[in-house]
Amino acid sequence: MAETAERHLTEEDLASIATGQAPGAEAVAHLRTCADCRQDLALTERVASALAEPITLHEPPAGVWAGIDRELGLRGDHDGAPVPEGDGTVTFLPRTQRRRWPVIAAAAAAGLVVGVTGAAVVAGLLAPRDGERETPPRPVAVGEAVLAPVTDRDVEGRAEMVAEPDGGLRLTVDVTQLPEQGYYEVWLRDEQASRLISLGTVSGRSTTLPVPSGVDLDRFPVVDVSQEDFDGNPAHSGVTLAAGAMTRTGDTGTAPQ
Amino acid sequence: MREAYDQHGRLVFSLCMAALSNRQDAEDATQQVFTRAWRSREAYDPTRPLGGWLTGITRRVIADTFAARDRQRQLVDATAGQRQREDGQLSEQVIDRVVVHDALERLGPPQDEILKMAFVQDLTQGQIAERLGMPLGTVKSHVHRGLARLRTALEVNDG
Repeated sequence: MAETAERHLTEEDLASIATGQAPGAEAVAHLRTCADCRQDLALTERVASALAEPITLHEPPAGVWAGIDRELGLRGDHDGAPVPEGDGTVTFLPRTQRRRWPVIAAAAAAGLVVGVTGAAVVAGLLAPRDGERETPPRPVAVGEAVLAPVTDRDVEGRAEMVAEPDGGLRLTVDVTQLPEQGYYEVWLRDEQASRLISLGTVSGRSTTLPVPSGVDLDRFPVVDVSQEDFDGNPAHSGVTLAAGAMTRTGDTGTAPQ
Repeated sequence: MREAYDQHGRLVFSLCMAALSNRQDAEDATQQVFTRAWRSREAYDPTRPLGGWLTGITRRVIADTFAARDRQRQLVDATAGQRQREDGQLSEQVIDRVVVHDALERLGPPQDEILKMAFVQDLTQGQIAERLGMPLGTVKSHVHRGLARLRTALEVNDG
């Protein structure tokens, strides 16, 4: 079809070009017009050349942290023992900010286009068909997903996304079971799970999480609930418990439920 | 702060080791990076990735360390000729290598091993499939997923 030049490069395309295969004519034509794919390709090539030159990683010895702790702990104290703050750990940022950054980092990580394009998508969803201020301010359903179980633990659930009157998106996730260990994390991702945005953790059978404004739901159509360990690794553990693609209900506009 | 250190300590220390090639200096520099980060935490924009911000501070600390070495060298003139010339900063390539290999270690098996075979040992995906007794399709999917995750790591570090 005439639309072939519109097709974004897949992860397979990027990997095969990065491993030295010549891109097909279609890919070349697309790259000429698509800045996003050019950037993805440039980054993939940077990854490939960095991979080809291994470098030794070094774990900092324990003394380094002790030094940091000592230097920072000394402030406002005489000497020696640092003053414990809250639960005894030194908090890096005020709590509200600290909870925000993994979401934003993951969003940035997923190559999320925040800005004109993404905002336009959301604005398009929110724009009432007629009359701007006529509709009373209430959340508008944007999409829903049935989360089918992926593992033999049979965790399943559903998710609903709404747009609040202030323009913010919220995703409510209901799950049938809560974690026996570790915690559950909620993600928006593409079908291949190569691009992910972390929305936050599941805090009960029903959890409502903010969705970063500007997210392009065409690029991140799947809601994914993962099993995570308390290992401090912010990446998806690779264990998806339940997932499902979102069906858009954004065009209904007037019909509640 | 401890979380930031647990998450990014290895990256920062590895960058310092790569640039300074001296363990003691690298330890001092790493300590400085985190104490500076803490003291200038008001300037941290929480909408930006923390790793990228810390890398920026690491660059400045390393530049300062080189400047201090220069001053030291002028004082101890006699040894000046013996030390190799240093370019005084952390190169983009070194940052990419440390960031990518740090993220590679976090991928875990078998993806990390497969990427090493593909990019370090330069094996074809067919050869990797044969050695690991894995279907070619599985190897391919590990390669492209792994690359995507490493790309994400670079992107986050770029900020």
